[in-house]
Amino acid sequence: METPVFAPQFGPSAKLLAFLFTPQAVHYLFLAALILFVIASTVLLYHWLRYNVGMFRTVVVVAVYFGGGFLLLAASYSAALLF
Amino acid sequence: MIGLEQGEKVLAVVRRHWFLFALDIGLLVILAVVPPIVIALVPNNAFVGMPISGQADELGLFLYCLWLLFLWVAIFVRWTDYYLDIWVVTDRRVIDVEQKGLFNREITTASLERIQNVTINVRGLFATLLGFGDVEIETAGAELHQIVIRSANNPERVKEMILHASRAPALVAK
Repeated sequence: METPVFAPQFGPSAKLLAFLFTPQAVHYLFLAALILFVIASTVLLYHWLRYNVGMFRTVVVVAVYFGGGFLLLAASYSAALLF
Repeated sequence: MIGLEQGEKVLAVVRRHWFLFALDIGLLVILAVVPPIVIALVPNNAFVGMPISGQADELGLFLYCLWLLFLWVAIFVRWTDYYLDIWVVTDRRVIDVEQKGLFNREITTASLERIQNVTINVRGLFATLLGFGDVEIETAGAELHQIVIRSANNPERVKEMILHASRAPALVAK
């Protein structure tokens, strides 16, 4: 884990920001977002299947939802790797 | 979505008008474009000298992607709420399936023969122009009960259908 360098001229908020956004913290944040996404997706999928949204509509919604979701997860993970 | 009795026929499935769903989605789209606009307004040298200054772009991109992911999930939560929030008019009853968020679902039923009065309420500019409004159904029973079909498309037609079905349920079934 890299030790953030604190500039003496910045206040506590800047120090907190520097502490929170270390590469390791960013990866933990990504992991937390991934877990929340999986939970939210499970709940949504349950509703779409349980309440008979219709097979064709369910397939379309699932494809669009997970397509967009995975794209955004991949983009955020790429940004986390660059950080 | 709901259990029907044997021989019961569905006359109509009513949802809130699409305009209200579009408004919800519009708000989420606005929230999606706010961060880039704010960042564009921040001076280029705002982060100079700060501990994260060298990687502010990557960090900003990372946080923005997470924000978009949150809004993406929110869009589908709103759609699910909109899609599952329905009123079903059958030849025997009116069923109000109210989906409140993802974890609260309430189903109310009013028998057609108990319907006493149906009134419609169209309020506001958009409701008048686009033709949607509330349909209030009052039923008699042990206690007076009311079902409100909120922001239904073409409320006059829905009202006529309910009144027609409640006056002659047997005819409608045929």
